Amino acid sequence: MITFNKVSFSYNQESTLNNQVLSDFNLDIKTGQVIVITGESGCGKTTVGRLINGLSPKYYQGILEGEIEVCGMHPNMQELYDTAKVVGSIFQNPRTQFFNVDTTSEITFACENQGMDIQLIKEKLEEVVTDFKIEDLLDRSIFELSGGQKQKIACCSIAVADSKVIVMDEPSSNLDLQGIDDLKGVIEKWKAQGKTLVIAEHRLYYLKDVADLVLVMKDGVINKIIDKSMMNHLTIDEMQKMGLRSFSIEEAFGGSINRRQIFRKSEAGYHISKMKFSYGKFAEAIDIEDISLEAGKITALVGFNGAGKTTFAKCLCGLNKKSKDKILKGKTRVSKADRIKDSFLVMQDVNTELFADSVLGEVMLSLREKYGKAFDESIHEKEAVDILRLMDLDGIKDRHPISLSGGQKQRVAIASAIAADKQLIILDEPTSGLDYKHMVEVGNVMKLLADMGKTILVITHDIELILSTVDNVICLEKGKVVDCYELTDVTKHKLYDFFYRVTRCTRSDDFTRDKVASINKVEEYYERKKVTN
Amino acid sequence: MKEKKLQTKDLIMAGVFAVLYVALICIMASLTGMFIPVYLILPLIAGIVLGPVYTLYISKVPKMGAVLILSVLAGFVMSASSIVVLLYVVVLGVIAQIILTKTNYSTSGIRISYIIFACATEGPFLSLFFAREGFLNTCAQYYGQEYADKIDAVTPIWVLFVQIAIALIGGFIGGRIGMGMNAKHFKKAGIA
Amino acid sequence: MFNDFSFQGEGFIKIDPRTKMIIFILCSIAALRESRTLFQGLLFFFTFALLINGKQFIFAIKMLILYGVMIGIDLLVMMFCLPEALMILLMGIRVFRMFLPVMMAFAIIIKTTRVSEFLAAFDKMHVPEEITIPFSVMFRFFPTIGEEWDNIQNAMKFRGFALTFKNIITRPAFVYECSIVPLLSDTVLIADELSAASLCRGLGANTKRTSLVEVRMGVFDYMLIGFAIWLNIMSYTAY
Repeated sequence: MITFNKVSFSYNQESTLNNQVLSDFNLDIKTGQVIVITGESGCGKTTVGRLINGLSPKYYQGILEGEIEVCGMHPNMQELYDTAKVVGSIFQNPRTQFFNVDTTSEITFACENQGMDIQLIKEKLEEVVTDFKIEDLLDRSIFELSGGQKQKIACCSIAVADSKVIVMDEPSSNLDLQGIDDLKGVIEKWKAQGKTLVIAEHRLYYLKDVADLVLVMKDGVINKIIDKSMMNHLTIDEMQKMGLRSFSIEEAFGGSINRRQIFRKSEAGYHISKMKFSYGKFAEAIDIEDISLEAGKITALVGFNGAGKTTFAKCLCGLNKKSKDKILKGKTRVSKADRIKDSFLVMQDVNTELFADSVLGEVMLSLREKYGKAFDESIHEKEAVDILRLMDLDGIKDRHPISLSGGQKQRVAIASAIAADKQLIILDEPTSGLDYKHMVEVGNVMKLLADMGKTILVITHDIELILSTVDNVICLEKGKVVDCYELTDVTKHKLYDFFYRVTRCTRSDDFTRDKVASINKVEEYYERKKVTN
Repeated sequence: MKEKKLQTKDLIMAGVFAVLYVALICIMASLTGMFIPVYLILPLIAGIVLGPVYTLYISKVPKMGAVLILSVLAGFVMSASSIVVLLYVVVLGVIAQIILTKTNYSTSGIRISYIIFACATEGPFLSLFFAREGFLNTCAQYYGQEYADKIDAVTPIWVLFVQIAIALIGGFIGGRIGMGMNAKHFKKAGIA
Repeated sequence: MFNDFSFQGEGFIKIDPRTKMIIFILCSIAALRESRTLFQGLLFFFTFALLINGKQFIFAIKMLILYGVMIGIDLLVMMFCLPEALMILLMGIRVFRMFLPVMMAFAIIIKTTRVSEFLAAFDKMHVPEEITIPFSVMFRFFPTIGEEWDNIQNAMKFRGFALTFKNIITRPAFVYECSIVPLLSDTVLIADELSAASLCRGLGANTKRTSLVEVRMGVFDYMLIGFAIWLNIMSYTAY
């Protein structure tokens, strides 16, 4: 079905052994197999997918050697739209893979492009709608949908086009646990239909039951092949040694939690009481009675998609002008303006937070704001370099922030927050789409910040991150705090129960939960519209 | 620089830059809208602010027809008050495209073409002056020539020429800033 | 403000996108020629009715109030004698009043047409792909750019150089650079990913594109166009 014969690829114009993303790569995939390709970032797994759907070298240009065959075609030698008739692709960011504004057009988009007969498209659409149970998702604006719903639409679009081969590039990285569970259902369905799937992915637990083979790549070659029987035998330590995420959530919970030594406790934490915020008249998006964030500790904020995690974060750091709240830092009440000055939100999409033309300049910007008139370029450059060294960025201090990798960008943003002396640092899904090694790095950065006495709040559904770094957990549901505890060996079952409920039991009340999430989304959407009008 | 036919990815890029162009005009109008005197020099401000959008677009899509597409799309949205604006902006787009092709997309060529294209933001004001003639005619018929003359006197047409002049100046400065920003940021970041 | 440029919902009676465009063009021609209250009023109520048909109630009523206020000011000024200084204001109001129907006709195009309807209509008008693809990307991107802009503004607030009045006056070049650099670079990155995804869905294939959405000119469409033409002729012949 798919064969790679001695394939080498490099994105540069000259191909040398040093800059090859793939070198002498061989692969043979049979019809109906589900192949998962994993490995650390930059190992070349995305490129394998791109070579199958033809994006490399047709769109992402580079030098290709060797031979690729997909269903008797050579994707590198034909036009992309010819390859698209056979190969369907799903990308990691649901936000950027839609061409249309409404869902129905998006689902039929590929067929329309191929010039398929309208009657045939209609029939296929009906089939897919009943098959995937997406009646409630039809004819909606894509901007109202959650990440999981968007990814579902992307899957439907491929199902309507009836692609024989499906390439997925980290499809779960922007999904919550519910979305991942839905995705797993789709993959199972496709496997049953005999489609061939190639999935490049970090998260492995949801693929354990469906994958025929897991290929571990390193530096452009296959380093290890894990088959069905090995998946059950590999221990979590062996996986982590390879820089991989674990195959099961249960196993991740099996290890004991290492309590972090708390060095400093002098700084005052934040105390939030009576926080209320709503988008519309219907429901309070946020309704929090009483909650504390301790300084020098890492607090995780977990909850369903649409539970109001990001909204809470925005209220907390003073961005939501309309929220009603009383927030104390230590014993003094802090206003919204003070909170904006004192906090920093590292967004999922860090690109929008970088302004300067070099990494060093980014930190200098913050220092300039901090010192105002007392700022002196030559004196404070030393301070900036120190901060960069702390964040392990001193080697790339002259690069443009936009040209860095996602993880590096995140660290640059954090470095600028340190320079500005921010006390409250909030991270929104910092490890979505990161492999084990990079996840640990992010965890270490958070620990470092906590040791500096800062208050850290991390919004996440990354269980491995929570288990390895977090001190306290806050569970949010429908804008209310339902649980809040210190994470220890004794309390970790609570966290497990919480995730267990999300991943295992929601299929039955799938619809009601989605409804709540989408009502909130819709209200947010209309609220925005009202403001902007 | 070799000109090739526009490919699908170039067309998508064209759409994206048209949005940037229009969105920034909207943002500027909302920021300056409260102060009418500032609003009148909007062509100058817009010329400066939109410079980087134009230059980055040209360096991303240095192909025949790219500016024309931008002018059609931006012209369409700006023509909210009258379809005449679309024609005006498209004419500017054609001129800018000719300059670009003749100068072979050299730095000075891009800047000169932008000076012309910067006049596009004058479009919405232009429609007011088109309407002025018709308005004065009816005024003369209904309220007498004297009244129409008075109105004529208090709404001087030279404002239009001043606006076009400052738009040209805005285009000059904006093109310079745009090229500078390309070198400082976008080339370094690897996106230009 | 970016949501003004996106599809809001379908109307009671479906109008062909081509009809909407023709009406818009006819309205802008009529507005340039005609400013007498009777025909202007007719034009206004014509577009007002179309907005109501398009279920744009709030927008339509806003426009109605605006129009009423402007007529009211006009009447007040006419009743009392005109001081010279007020004349320029009156002129402004009247010119704005002339353009109101055109803006409403434009809003009808933007707010009640799906992107796929636009594409289907353009296809029937034989508009080349070089215009249709950027056109649909433009409408898809307005909300995205809005989100990006909000995020950048938030980030600037955290960093201490928000786009405030004070900062715009005291250091315009700096805040300008800080807003525009991430805006441009980030949208280019998004556009790159969008291109890749669209190409993988076969966009740009050399075969003729089909469209699930059908656009057809009905009797109602011809009636609307006929009425708009009549308004235009009246405005010319009434001199």
